[in-house]
Parts: sequence; C-alpha cells; structure tokens
Amino acid sequence: MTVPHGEAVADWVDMLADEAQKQWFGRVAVLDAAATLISNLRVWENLILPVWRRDNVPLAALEESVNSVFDLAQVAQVQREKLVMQLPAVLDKAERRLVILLRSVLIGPACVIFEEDQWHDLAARTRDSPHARLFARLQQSDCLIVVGPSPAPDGFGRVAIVERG
Amino acid sequence: MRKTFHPLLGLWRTVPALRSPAVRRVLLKQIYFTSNQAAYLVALIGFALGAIVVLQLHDVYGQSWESSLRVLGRLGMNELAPLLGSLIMVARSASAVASELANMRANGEFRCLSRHGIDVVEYLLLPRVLGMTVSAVVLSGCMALFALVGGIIFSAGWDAGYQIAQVERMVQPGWILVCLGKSAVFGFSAGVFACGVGLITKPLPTELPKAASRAVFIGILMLFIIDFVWSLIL
Repeated sequence: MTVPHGEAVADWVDMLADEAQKQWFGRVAVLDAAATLISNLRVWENLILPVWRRDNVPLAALEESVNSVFDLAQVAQVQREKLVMQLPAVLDKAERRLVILLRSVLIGPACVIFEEDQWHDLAARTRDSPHARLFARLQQSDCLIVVGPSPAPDGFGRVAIVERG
Repeated sequence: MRKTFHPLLGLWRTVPALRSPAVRRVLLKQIYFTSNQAAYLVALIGFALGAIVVLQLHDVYGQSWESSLRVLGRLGMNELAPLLGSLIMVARSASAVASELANMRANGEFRCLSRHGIDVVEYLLLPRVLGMTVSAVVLSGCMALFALVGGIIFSAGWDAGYQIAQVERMVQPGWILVCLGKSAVFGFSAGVFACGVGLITKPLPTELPKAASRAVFIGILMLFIIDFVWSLIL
C-alpha cells in the first residue's frame, strides 16, 4: 500500500490494524519501523502479552509456545535466557526487531502489517539468521500488507494485499 | 475537558476486563508499588502522628489520657488518616503514574497496544485507577491503625493492654467505614486525575517532566476539595 511520508504511514497502519482486528481479533501482528515494545515490561512479558490478553491461557502453556518460537528462530539457549529477562531499554535495534518478530510469530497471525522500512530491513537479511527464519514464517500468513511511501515495486499495485492460497 | 478525559469516562465499562490475568497482573503490580512499598513509611508517620496528637491534647490542652485517645480515634479515623494516607500516596505515586503514561504515549506504546487489539483503557488505565483506590484504602487504614497504636503506647505506656481491650471506647465501626470510604474516594480521584494528566500531556520531551509535578499538584488540590465537600455534606 503506497501512502504519503511520515505520520501518515503510522495513521494508515493504525487504520489497517483496526480494520484487521475487527476481522481477525487478536490475530493481527504489526511490525512498525521503530520496533516498539512496552517499556515497563520485560521482554518475555512483551512476547506473551497479545496472546495472553487474547486467550487468557496459563503462563506455563505460553512458556512452551515461546520456547517453540525460539526453536523456530534457532536462538541459542543462553542467548534466549538472557534476552527474555531484559527490559526493552537495553536492547539494540537488531534485538528489538528480533523481539517483535518473535512476538508476531507467537500471535499466530492471520494478518501481518509491516511498515515499509521494517519490511526492507528484514527482506535484506541473510537466510540463515533468526530474523530471516521468523520473517519467512510471517510471509506464510493469509494476509500480508506493507505500508510505506515508496512506489510499489514491480508486481505490486498502489494498494497491494498479498494473498496466499 | 470532555475530550481530554474521554477514555476515563468509560472506565466503569471496562471492569469486566479484570477477568483477564494480564490485566490483573498490572493491577497487582500497581498495588504493590503504590501501597506495599509505602506501607512502612505510612506506619511510621501514623505512629508518630498518634503520639503527637495524644501528647498535645494531654500536655497542652489539659485533656485526660482517655479523652485524648477518644479524640484521636475520631479525628484520626474521620480526617487525618484518610487525608494524610492519600496525600502520601499522591506524592509518591501520582507523579509516577502520570509520567509513565505520558512517556508510553510519547514512545508510541499506546499505539502498539491498540494495534495488537489491547484496549489501552482496560490494560493501562483501569488497573492504575483501581490500584490507587485500593492503595489509598490500605495506606489510610494502616495510618489509622498505627496512629492508634502510637497514641495508646504514649498515653498508657506499660498499661497499653488495658487500653487495647477498651478499644471500642476510642473507635466506632461507623468511623472505620468513613475512613475507608473517604480514602477510597480520594484514591479513585487521585488515580483518575493522574491518568488524565498522563493522557493530556503533549508527547514532547520537554512536556514529560511537567506531567509529574502537574499530577501531584492536581491530585493534592482535589484531595482537599473533596474533603471540604465531604465535610459540608456529611
């Protein structure tokens, strides 16, 4: 989807996310360019929050889900244990992106909305990185929307909603 | 004003969200940080307050120890404990709530929650307002209790056991209800205004520090206005 620069992108993402939530409540993942996390929650709380709020499932079940997503990303045990206990303020940009990817995959999204910068960054990563593995999983979602100011590349229209299957 | 506090006007409708463990977790954290961590301070102040009131009444105004304790019971339960307990809570926590919310809004965290289908009022505002309400009740109750203990110890000394056995002379059940009810209203008001200040603060780095002082100022002002109105009506 091609939109003007700046705040308009965020507004469009808000609107799209709002509409998507009406259709697939709790199954919408949004990957914004700033990789926003909730600052007063540790990483593990950030990871589980959307699913916990949606399903009200026990924390033990969520822990299994979190571990399976880490397994999918092939993040080393030592690294994941260190990562989940940290607050967002101490994470670098790559770690924040990893966390929002993990959170998005954990949601099991029916719809994924990317801000364009995030999309380009993830698409440029090498295939054997945790980011790329999770990105590949997200691309299998039923509905994939990329929002940004750039003209749509070949194969995309001005408004492009990628549908699978 | 209506637009500013608009999310808070529908707060009561979000109460069923407390069924969610994620929301309850925020509420419990709020109660822990607001009341549990302040309880020692409030207990200490309450103890000193009880002792001061009883000693002043006895030494300066010539009241008997028994009479002094009865005045302390009434004054402490009806006025001092709810007001001072809530005042300490506002001074400690209103600024924290307002600046935290203002920061979260400035950093796009409200937006992030909404995009993931999490209602900001349910997840952020409801637990904070309820947490401050519960905390005000706990802190005021704690202050009233320790004020009585302080008063009894300083008036009766080693015979404190006798005074404790006669506690119904100092405190009536109605006064306890007034203490808890008043502090609940104070806490609710402080929570609503702290959240309101957090919501109206412009998302600019220069505005964020102002949110903290504004929340304390408005919170204290509202406490005294409500107490004044309460005194006029009841």
